This record gives sequence, structure tokens and C-alpha cells, in this order.
Amino acid sequence: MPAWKHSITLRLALAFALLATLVFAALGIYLSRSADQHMAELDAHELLGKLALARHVGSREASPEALAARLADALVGEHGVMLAVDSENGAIFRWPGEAAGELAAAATAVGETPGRLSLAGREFRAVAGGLDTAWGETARVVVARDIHHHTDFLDQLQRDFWLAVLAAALLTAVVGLLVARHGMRPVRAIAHAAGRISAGQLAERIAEREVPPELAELVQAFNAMLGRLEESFQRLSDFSADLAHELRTPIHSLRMQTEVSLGKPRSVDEYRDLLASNLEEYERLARIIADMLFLAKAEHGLVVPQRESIRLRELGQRLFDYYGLLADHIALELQGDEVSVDGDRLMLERAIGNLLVNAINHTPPAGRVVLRLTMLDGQAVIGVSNTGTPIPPEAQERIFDRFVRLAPGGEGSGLGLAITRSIVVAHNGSIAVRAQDEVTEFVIVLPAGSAA
Amino acid sequence: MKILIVEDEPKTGDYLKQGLGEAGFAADLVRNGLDGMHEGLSGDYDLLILDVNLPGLDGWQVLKALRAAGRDLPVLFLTARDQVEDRVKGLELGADDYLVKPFAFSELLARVRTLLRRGRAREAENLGLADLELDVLKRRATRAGRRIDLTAKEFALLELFLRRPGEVLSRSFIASQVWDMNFDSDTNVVEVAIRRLRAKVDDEFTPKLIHTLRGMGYVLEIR
Repeated sequence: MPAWKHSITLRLALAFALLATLVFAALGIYLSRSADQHMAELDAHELLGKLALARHVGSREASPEALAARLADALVGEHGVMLAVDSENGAIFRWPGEAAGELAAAATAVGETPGRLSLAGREFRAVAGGLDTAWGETARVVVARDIHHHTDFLDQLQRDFWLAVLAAALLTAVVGLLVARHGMRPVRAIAHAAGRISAGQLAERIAEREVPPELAELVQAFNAMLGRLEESFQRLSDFSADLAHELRTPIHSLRMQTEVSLGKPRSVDEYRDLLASNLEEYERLARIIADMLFLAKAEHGLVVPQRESIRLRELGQRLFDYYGLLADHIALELQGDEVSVDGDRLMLERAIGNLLVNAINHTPPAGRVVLRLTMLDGQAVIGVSNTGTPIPPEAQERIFDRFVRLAPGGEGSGLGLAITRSIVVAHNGSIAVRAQDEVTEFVIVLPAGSAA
Repeated sequence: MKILIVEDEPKTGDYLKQGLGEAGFAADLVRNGLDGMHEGLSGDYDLLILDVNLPGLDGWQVLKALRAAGRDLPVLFLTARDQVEDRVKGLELGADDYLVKPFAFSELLARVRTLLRRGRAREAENLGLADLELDVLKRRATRAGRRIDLTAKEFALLELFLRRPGEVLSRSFIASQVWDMNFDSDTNVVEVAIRRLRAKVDDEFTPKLIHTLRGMGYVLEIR
């Protein structure tokens, strides 16, 4: 389908024009019918009057000659009227001349109801009736009226009218076009705004107030879409910037170290040290990249946990066995019930392990780390708390963002909590942190497992 | 022990061959899937290390062809993509183990040795190196005749070392074997465990048996 067939403006204009044409045409047909009927009535009135006149005169006058004379007198000044009176013995009267006889001959089918008749290319309306003359003969009267004036008038009227209809249609089409274009202006404004938007200007929005209510929904949806785009775009560019920054630092130090070491001959041991140190950096880089990939996949919903029934107490005990080695002079406590969830063993191990490592690292000597497992309203609640300086409230919101390290130059990649959160989210759970009275607690809430 | 490496990435392939050679294996390297399939079908190899992304035939097709021909040598596949589907697919096709790139070479070596050891005679119950002895059934450890008290995890760690004398064990391998921890977050748990084990096994004795290879891991051997 060609583009113009889709044009709303054009379609509206054509619809206006069509509507105008239909209305005017209907009106015109109605008016011309009424005019026609009105004229027919006038003609009939006149013809019947003339017929009555002829009958009246015929019933009074004693001879055909007297009848003709009286009728001629009565008809003086009548234009366009023909009247013929015939008896069995021939023509009695002709008005205005002999042509009336031809008409009378042609009007055999006409009766006392006025009817139309054409003769020699001319249109007549005619009426005929019997006449009982005073002298005893029976005659026939035919009265006719030339109606070409009327038909000419009606024809003219109709021509004028169709012209008027055409003009009206054109005019409404043009007006419709203008109105539609005007009505479409907000749409063009939206298009214009959309055209201005590029990757660098995703903050652009269409003003919702200036838009007619019919388009408000569209504009809202459009703006909401822009909002979502802006957010993911922002996330993506943050991601790239973060990644570049995090990778640049270790690569820079690797390069410095290697360049300096190659600067002059060294002992085998020195070279070995260099390679070993490089290896440690490579490992760190590889881990950052793997973690970033995991987070990127999680953000796009591509991390799909396997589902098996996991007993959290058992898992917690295993984590304690391992990370407990880090907890010198710190008490580790595993509290609570046997709680099961359906989830991915490795991922949950990692998520809770991250929290435990954080807790142990931030607990001062003689402090305490508690892993608390409870069932609450059909949900598994996993709390990891530690004593020590609590996390300041303003940091609690962003602590789950990647590369956020509360202590400057702090250990670790700064990805642990971000990974923990994305694992929890992938398990349809939630995570929060709260701190009070020298105790910080991270709380994971997961849907309870089917085997619970 | 003969190992076939099918790897198209030049550096990786060369260093795999060199590393495995220096670890005492006879390693052959081919650089595409077609050669890999021919060598795998005709050669007499004990293990196949197979990259998944290969020109020509990919790793999956090579693996399928080998298994279809009834070759049941152990296959360790290498993948750059850490996708669950990849792992599942590889194991379903009959691979025995997998590693995601980038991996530590010591990790690869450990897996290779595990695969080659599989299916051989029952593991020994009495292990020892120099004057260190371990009775696996009785859970008893002695050094120079003196009884050493070990926790369960320390015992497991020492047993792991004694079963793999001379092998470099990476931290992540140790964490997964002894504690069943498969995510080595950036901690020094293994370091702490080794330090404690050394305090009991090595500190008061000579020769020292447990050695640190910086950046790589730990090895048990007489130097």
C-alpha cells in the first residue's frame, strides 16, 4: 500500500469532503424533488381551472361558434397554454392555433388527472375531460401547458447545485486538511523530539503538559521507554568505565614492573619473583573479568540457577569449616533451624560465603560473627551479622553496587556484594543490610524450598 | 603417558605442550579439529585435551566422532565461555572434565593427573614421604615416629599432598578438594591452613616437605 494511503491527514480531509458531498447531494436531491412537485401542483391547478372554465362556458353557450368566441375571450393573455375542444363532428376550438389540434390528437391517453406529454420535442403537462354542450353534443376538452420554463429552471437549479456541491467538497477537503494538519501537530512534535534524541542525549523528554489528552498515553509510554533506555545505557557505560578503570590499574603496575625488571640484567631469582608476582596479578585480572561477566549476565537475566533442594545449615557448616580459618580470635556461631531452599548450590555457597568473609574481615578481635537461619512466613531468612563499627547509613544503599569499597584502598575486587545481590535476585529473593548498636547484619530472604 | 592436545590458539597450544612435557608427559599438539580427530582415532593416547572452538570441525564434533568410533580415552575439554549449556553439552557428549579459560596451569595438571589415575588400582592406604607417614584407615599421622595430632581437614589436606607428591597444587584445587569450596573468593584461607599444617608437620623437622611456589600454589616434595 503506498504511503499516501496511510496519511491520516489526507484520509481525514477526504472523509470530510465525502461527508460534505453526501450531505449536500442529499439536500439537493430533496430540494429539487420538492421544487418539481410544487410546480406540478401549480400546473395541475391551472390546467384543472382551464378545464373547468371550458366546461362552464360550454354548458352555457348555445352554439359551437359562440363557445369558441367566449373561450378565446377568456384566454386572451394566456401564454404557454393550449386548449382544444372537439366534438364528434370535428374541431370546435383551437387555442392558440392549429398546433393545439395535434396536441389533442396526441393526448388520447390523458384523463382528468394531469399527466405529462411530449410533442415535437416539447414538454407539456396536459389534462382532458368530457364536455356536455348546451346544444346537445358531447365534446372533449384537452388543456395543455408548455412546461419547458419549469424544466429549464429545474435543470439550471440542478446544475448550479452540483457545482455548489463540488465547491463545498473541495472547500471542506482543504479545511479538513488544515484542521487535520493542525491536529497532527503534537504528533510531529513527538517525532521531532524523538529525532533529537541520540545516545548522548537520552535525558530528552517530551513535555506531557503540552500534549492533547488523546496523545498523553503515547507520550507517557514514549517517555517511560526513554527512561528505561537511559537507565540501561547509563548502566552499560558505567560498566565499561568501571571495567576500564579496574583493569587499567593492575595492567599499569604489571607493565611498570616488567619494564623496570627488563631494564637491566638480573638474577634468576629476581626474574622468578617478577613472573610470580605477574602471575598473581593475572589471576586477579582473570577473577575481575569473570566476576564482571557474571554480573553482566545477571543484569540481563542470563544467570539461571539450577534448582536443587539445599539444606542451609549444612551449607553454613561447610562455609564455617572453610572461612573459619580466617577467624582468629573471633567467635563464629551458627544459629537457628534447619532451613531448605531450592537453588543453585554453588551460587548460594558463593553468595553466603561472600557475606561471611566480609563479616569476618570487619570484625575486631574478640568479636562475633553469627549466621542465623530462620523460617518466617514461608520464607527462608539468612542473616549474617558481625560486631564492630557499623556501616554508616549513607553507605548502606550503595554498598551493593559494584566496585564500592568502603575503606579506601580496601582489599578485594569490590564485587563481592554485587555478586551476592545478583545471585539472590536470580533466586527471586531480596537482600538488605541493617546496622545498629555496633552490629551489622546482612539479611537474605529467599522463597522456602519445596522440601522445607 | 601420552596426551593429545587439540588447540588452535598458537601460544596456548605451545605452552600447554611445553608445560605438560616438563611435567613428564609425552604431549602432541595439533591445531585443528580434523587433525585432532585423525590423531585421536589412530594414535595411541591416554588422554585428550580438547578446545571447543576450533577451525574446521569443532571440539564437539571431534568428541562425537571419537565416542562413536568406540574410543573411550578420557577427554578434558577447554572452553572460553562459562555457559552452563556448554558444560552440560560437553559432559553429555562424553567428556570427562572441563576447564574454563583462563585457568591456572597447575589446575589443568591436577585435573589431567586425576583423569589418568581414574580407574587404576585402588588407592593406597598407607602413604608416606621421607619420614612422614600417614595411615588413611586409622587416621594416624606420624613424623620421625612421633604422633602428630591433626584435625579432620588437616588430615585431608596432608592426604591430598601425599597422594600427589611433587605435584603443584593450586589454592583453588586445594579448596575444592579438601573443603568442597568451588568459589575461591580472594581470601587466604588455604594459606592459613597450609601454615597450620606446616607448624605441625614441618616446623620441628628436617627436611622441610611442604613448599610454596609463589603465584602457583604448594608442592610436597623432598628438596
